[in-house]
Amino acid sequence: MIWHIFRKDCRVLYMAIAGAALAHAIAAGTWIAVGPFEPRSTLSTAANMLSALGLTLAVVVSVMAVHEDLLSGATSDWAVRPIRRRHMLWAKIVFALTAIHGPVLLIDFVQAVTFGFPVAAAAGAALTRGGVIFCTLTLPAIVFAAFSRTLVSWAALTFAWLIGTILVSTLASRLTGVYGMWDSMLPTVHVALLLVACAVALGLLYSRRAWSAAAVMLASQALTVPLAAIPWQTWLGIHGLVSQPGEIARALQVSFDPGRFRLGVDVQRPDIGTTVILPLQIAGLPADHLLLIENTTLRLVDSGSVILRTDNPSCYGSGPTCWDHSPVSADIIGDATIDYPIQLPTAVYARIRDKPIQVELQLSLTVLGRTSHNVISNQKDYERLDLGRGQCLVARSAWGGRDVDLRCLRTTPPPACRRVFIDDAGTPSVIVQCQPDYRTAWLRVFPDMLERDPPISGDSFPRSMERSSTPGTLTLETFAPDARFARNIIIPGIHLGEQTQDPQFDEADRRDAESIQQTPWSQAGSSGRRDALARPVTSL
Amino acid sequence: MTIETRRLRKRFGSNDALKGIDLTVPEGSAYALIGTNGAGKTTTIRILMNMLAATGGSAAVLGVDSRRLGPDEFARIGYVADHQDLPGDLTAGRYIEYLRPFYSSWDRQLETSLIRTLALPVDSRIRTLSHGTRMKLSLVCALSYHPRLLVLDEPLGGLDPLVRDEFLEGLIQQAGDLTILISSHELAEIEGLVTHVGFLDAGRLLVQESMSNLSARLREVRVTLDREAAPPSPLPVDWLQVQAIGNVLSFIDTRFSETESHQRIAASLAGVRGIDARPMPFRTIFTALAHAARSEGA
Repeated sequence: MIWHIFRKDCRVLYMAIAGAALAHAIAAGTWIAVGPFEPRSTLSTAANMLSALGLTLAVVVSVMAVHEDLLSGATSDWAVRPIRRRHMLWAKIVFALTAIHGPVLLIDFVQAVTFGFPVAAAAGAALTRGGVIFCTLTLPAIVFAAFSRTLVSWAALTFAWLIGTILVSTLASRLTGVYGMWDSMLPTVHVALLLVACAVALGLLYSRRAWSAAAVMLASQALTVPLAAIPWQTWLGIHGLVSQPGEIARALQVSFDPGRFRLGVDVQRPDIGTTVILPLQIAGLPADHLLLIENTTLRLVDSGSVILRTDNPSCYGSGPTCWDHSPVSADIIGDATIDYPIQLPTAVYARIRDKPIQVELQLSLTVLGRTSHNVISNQKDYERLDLGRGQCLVARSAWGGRDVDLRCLRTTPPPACRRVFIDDAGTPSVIVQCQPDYRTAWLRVFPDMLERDPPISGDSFPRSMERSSTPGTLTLETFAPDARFARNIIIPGIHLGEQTQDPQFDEADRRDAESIQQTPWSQAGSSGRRDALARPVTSL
Repeated sequence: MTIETRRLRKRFGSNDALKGIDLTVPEGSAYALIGTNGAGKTTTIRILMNMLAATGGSAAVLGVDSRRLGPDEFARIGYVADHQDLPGDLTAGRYIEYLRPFYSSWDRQLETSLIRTLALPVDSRIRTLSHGTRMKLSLVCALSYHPRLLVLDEPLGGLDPLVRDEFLEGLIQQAGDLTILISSHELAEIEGLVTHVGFLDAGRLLVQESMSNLSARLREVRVTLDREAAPPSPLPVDWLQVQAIGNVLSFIDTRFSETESHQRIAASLAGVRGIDARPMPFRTIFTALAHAARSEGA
């Protein structure tokens, strides 16, 4: 009877189904008209809006289908008919999957094929996108539809739930004091819990009409709050149980470099405090590899008692409150030295400056290996590259002078990091980018779907390495994680007050750092020196 | 018994909608569940139809716990209720067509006959139908598969007299061995249909018996005296609505018996010249019971 109910819903809602499909088709057509590389234009804005409209309509039509056979209340005619409740539930799910997601799937597939992707890649991308939209959007919408009787009550319920979720996640971030952990480490946990909650809630609603139990299931999302408080060391420990770091991790050396131990320039700024620069020497990183330092925990110990403890989750390019987490790139700068800034309140610094202090530093590290290497000529408008994990269409606009505009359209998960070289007359200039939500957690959701990487423009390259007007070669490399592990560094008996001021850490550098805008991908230009950015003391 | 409840209770927040009712609907009967607004009639029916969960007690329909009513049982139950949600975008004909495959006993001839009797416009969308026509559609969809039990919750409310007659005609034609549970305020209309009656008041089932028993034991009595009439003291407990006008004392005797009532009246009143005991219409019985319930409540 599932098919019978499904056909009834199609018969009743055929206009709405056609409307949602039409919105998708127009959106796809507009994207095709815009082209694969999305130049900023009115048309691309319209395409974005139409895509959003298409998705909204798809969700609304799914909700309407559920409301055709109301579950809530005691006036539904179908509830006193010989209709199995599970058949009704499956009929609604089949309706959403076929009548709503079917056209979306087809349109997404056509769009990817039109952009030049192989049929298999286009089908995979369309299927994955459809799956993600169904699991994260349509299925929760169906659950709320089962709770409600009208579109208005459904919208109100959904809005209330969203507000609740935002409040809970914000509270979790605040309570745990590790900003970003909630957002960065648990996307898969969130999605998995949402899926489980929706599936169980629908089962409870349709099989037993257990409204309270179903509402509790949805509220169980709050159970993820304690997960946010789990320290990165624990996550990494669990990761270590299922994945051994290997030879690369064992060969990598991270050590304190006493020769460059120094003070930051803001020693005289009581409002900011005193910054002590802790230099770390990285050795043993193989060529064609990157090293990311993701999370750090610092403890300053005086005669056995902890006088300062601070956790620093990774935060890429988000301004002066974050440490510079640009990946260390061994084959560009060889064995690297990175500066770890310790910011102390002036009074604390004055109290401990002449005492022997033990510095204990815990680092979570990821070594990323190169997965693809492509040298792009400057003759074509765009070309197809093999990035190791699927294909990428790369375009450049007006390649000449500084007007490099590198864009990527993929049907595969984005690489964890990518590196771009421009070599003009032997003067290399490089940009390394990593995903902003790249973290220790191995649970990540980056399904195959048609995605546009943020463009890299000529302005992104370091000022010191500006290219000449002569076009050169452009190299694009991608990287994937090889090993994740932790390192502990203990530096006993150092005197913070014996250090000299860092001549390089000046106000100009600070202003420069503060001007970094948050972008979808973090960027760091390798100009041979890493800026040490001040970061706040989170506990004392 | 087709329907049987034991100490059935339902609580909405702090409101006790049902306070432990024992309802018994014999097979083949036409049972009228009557009561004032808010007495608990619809709540009882919704619990019986597994649309609401009871707070306590038990309810069995066709021998099955009402919470376990499933497709097998609903294939033998017809349900018509005021304000039932029907798919408004379908035409009446499409809706009947949609329901057919769910019932193995669906009778196309009966369906056609009912559509004709009730003058149902099958090509009109359900949302455009009047309330009365929607009720007629519900009746067609409840009778066309020969159910064993027909449950009607306020089916005549808001229907004009013509539609009401058509509805009842369609119903009576198919009554046969059907067991009917009907809740209605339209007592005069269903009087010829019902065989049993249950009177619900404020969540309590105060009266439950066959119509023949009820008609036999409830009489409107007028006693003519040879003097100024006055209610006896103490007032017999089975006398309701006692009124004295001139030398006539009228009341409703709730335990009337041809053989005993005259003696009891004579024992209670002096100077009885004549006794006139008349059967009561269903509507009067209902109002008498309702008044009595309210007086007791007060």
